Amino acid sequence: MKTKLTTLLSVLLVFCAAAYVVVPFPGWDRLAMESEYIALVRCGNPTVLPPNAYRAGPNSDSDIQIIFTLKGTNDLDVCRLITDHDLYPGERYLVFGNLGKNILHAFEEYRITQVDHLFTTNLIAGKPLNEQIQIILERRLFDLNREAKLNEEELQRLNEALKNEHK
Amino acid sequence: MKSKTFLTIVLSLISGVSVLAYMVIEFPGWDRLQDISTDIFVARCSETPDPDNVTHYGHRVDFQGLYYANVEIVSVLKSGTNWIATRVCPPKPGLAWIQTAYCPQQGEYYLIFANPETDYYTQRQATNYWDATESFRFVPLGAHFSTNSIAGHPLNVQMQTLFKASAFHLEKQIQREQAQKQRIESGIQPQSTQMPQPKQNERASTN
Repeated sequence: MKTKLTTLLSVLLVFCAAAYVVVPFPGWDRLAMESEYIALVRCGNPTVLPPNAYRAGPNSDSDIQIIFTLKGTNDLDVCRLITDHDLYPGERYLVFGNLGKNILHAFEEYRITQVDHLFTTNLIAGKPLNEQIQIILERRLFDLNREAKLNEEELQRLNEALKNEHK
Repeated sequence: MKSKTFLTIVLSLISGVSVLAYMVIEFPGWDRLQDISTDIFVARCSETPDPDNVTHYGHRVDFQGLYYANVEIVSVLKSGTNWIATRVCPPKPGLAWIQTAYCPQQGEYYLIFANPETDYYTQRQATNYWDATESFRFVPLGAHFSTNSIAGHPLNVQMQTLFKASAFHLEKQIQREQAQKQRIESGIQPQSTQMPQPKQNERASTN
């Protein structure tokens, strides 16, 4: 009985240590208000962990370079980003995060919005925060619509191949 | 005299365009694509191509809108390995470069229908250098792929397995992007119409 209780407590302890809180999407206005740091970043390589270290929790942990700060401190250059969103080196992202010891925490997927390569920060320079966010979101929406078309075409081609298999 | 100058300009423009041009074919169907592609392999993108298109030689900027992707071949499905007279370098697991209009993502696996790229100076196949210009020659498989799933099967079965994996990956991606689209649409105010949009002909950034 004692062993069972100890095992159960240990399992609970491990779960608590590995757990992190994920909040449902609260809307853009509230997200912008609650995030202490909003920035446009360029993703670098995934962070190399020390030997025998194990990464528990979010999907991606990468080095990033801050390109443009929309909200928060300006003196950051390179830091780490930890998030559930898939990060790809070389890509740019708008991040709604919270900063701690040079690590930008943006656990939830909705805190990351990909920005296309041709985006220039001159488009948002000197504008109010809300307008800056709007510009980036509109560009992303444009990209998503274009990608949706390409994905549909690709899926159609694949389905064609899979149909032929069943014939 | 004037017509001579005009003719010279036109000829220069035509030769310029010819140098930059490359041929793109329509999707011919999977069977035909298998036939016309000399090499079919699965590769993992080792580095997202530079949007400024610096080649692996590190100095040339390409104006054709093609990417030079660094990939690592993990499994070869089809190749003419015994064509010694015409080919010097059949694909084998390891690093390779691919010229393509598709922008692969670092860490993702792709099924690639390629042809060997010829060296401009020697007119022989360049070492580890392939051409898969059309976007449909890249079939994304996602970041988690094991070659064990296709090992030891005939080519057709391997293809079907990979197509299924790709369809599954794509459906998930579509769902994710759909959710993101809904979120973004909820945040865009209808009155803000002055926002700059990228032009239609800008190169697609795929993910």
